[in-house]
Amino acid sequence: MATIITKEQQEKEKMVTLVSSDSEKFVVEQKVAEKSHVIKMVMNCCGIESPIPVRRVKGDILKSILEYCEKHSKGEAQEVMEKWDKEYMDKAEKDLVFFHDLMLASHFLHIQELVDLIAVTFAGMLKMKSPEEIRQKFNINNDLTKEQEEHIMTTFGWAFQPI
Amino acid sequence: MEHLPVEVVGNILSHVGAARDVVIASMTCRKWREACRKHLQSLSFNSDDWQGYRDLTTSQIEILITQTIFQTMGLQCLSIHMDDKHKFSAAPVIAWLMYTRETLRNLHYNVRTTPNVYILEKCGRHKLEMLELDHNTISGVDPSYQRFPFLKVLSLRSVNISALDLSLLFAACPGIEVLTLDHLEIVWSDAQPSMELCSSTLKSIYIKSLGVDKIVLEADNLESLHLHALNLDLFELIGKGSLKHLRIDDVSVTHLDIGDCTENLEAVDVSNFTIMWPKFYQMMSRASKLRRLRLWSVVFDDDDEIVDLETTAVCFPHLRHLSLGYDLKDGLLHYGLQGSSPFENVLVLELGWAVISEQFGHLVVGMIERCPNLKKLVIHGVLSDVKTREERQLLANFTSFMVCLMRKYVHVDLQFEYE
Repeated sequence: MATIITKEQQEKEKMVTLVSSDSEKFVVEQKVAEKSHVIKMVMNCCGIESPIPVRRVKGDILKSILEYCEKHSKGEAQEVMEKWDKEYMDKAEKDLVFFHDLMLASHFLHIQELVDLIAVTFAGMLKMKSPEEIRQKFNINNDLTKEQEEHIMTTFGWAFQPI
Repeated sequence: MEHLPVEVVGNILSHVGAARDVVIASMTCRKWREACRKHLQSLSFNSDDWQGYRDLTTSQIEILITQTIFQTMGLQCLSIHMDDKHKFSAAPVIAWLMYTRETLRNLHYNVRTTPNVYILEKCGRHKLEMLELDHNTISGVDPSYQRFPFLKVLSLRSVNISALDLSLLFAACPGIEVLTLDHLEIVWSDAQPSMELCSSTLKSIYIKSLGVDKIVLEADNLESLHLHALNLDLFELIGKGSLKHLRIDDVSVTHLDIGDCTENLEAVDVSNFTIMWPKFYQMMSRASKLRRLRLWSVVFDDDDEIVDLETTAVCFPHLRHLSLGYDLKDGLLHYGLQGSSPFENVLVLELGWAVISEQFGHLVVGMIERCPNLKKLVIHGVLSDVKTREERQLLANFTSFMVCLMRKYVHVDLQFEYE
């Protein structure tokens, strides 16, 4: 009995509180938070007793990121994870603003496998598009100078040939 | 998208792969252009990615590859995969390899060159982790200075190489984990072509269409062995029981010896192969962890032999997926179905015929009765051979028979796959 209590206490001690930029609190296991290299470093130097502020990430984004980290800290079979990742991305990419913020936050928190996962999905959206279609889809302002555009057209004219 | 740092955009573009899409994306704005120039890690020129390559001449393709590669810095993965009608000149190919050699980790290259370029000499060897070469010649390997300390994956397809160079190359890759040798044109120095490979790091090997009589492989940590389209006198694997996956397809071998390596096998897939059942069984009998067994289009060396289901069930208690497809000979089925040991853990069962016979239905009943926890049954059949009225009748009878049978096993998901 005594050993069980100690174990439970140990489990409890492993919890950490993260606070989003809009003051939402999330209590997660240490191993979940550790998926972020940045949070891991903060925990290593400051401990896990007091809440850790994640200033640049809003609550809805942090919630989604922690959902990812929790799933990925369980050590499940690869095929299970691949299916889960796909569903996670299918949901995320529906809202491009959310998707963009998710990419930015996972980059900021240094969760490399999530950054790569989002990059793969993002890259998929760029296939077989024209520059104008990409700008419209992602709301990008064309700030290239005339000279730069001309240079690209002379160097890479082949890529713009209509087939 | 304005807030994404340039290195993140570089990461995204590195996952696009196809060179044309990368070039187009780099034209959207300044930041993306910079990302493409400074942070792009991966480029792929593949004639399957974009139809436009087909309308370009070989020299036009050379120019566009050169211009695109020279716009980047720090490329880590380069893939050039063109239709075999193209033959590049040596100069641009050497230029691409020299330009990327300090940073390149993965290289896939399949285009012939004239004159021949010895890719191994030109590419960066210090960082290379994966090298896949098609349609090239390898010669004069000198392991004293050509070393690949980080190479893990080596794939050679349709490559000309001498037996000596092959063994020297292998010796120059001390950390190799995955090796593919497919359709090599090997120049042998002696009359009896034999290949001996020894590696303690090798995990997976695929050998296909090699003109060799003997293969001796010493690999203590090998997990996956796949032999395909080979005609051998001897294949010997010396290992320490790490093998998990064994696949033999369209192989003729007089002496097959994987002796002590079978105890951790999880999947065995044997197809288009002549089996001597007692020998095969003896070899496999220690594989008590086997979860998947597939014997497809196999022929038995002795006319009286058949897969003995009783011993199969007893020997492989953890079997979950069983696939059997071979022609049933008259009078032997009863012998094959003898015994009553069930396949307790089999969830998926696949059965198939090449020439349909009346016995097939009996095999299905016999098997389904022995798999108490079956969830899925797949029947594979070849229909192109059904020509005579008698055969059509057999097929019709079998179909009605299956309909009746499955009423009894409503919980089993039934699928038909006909060729």
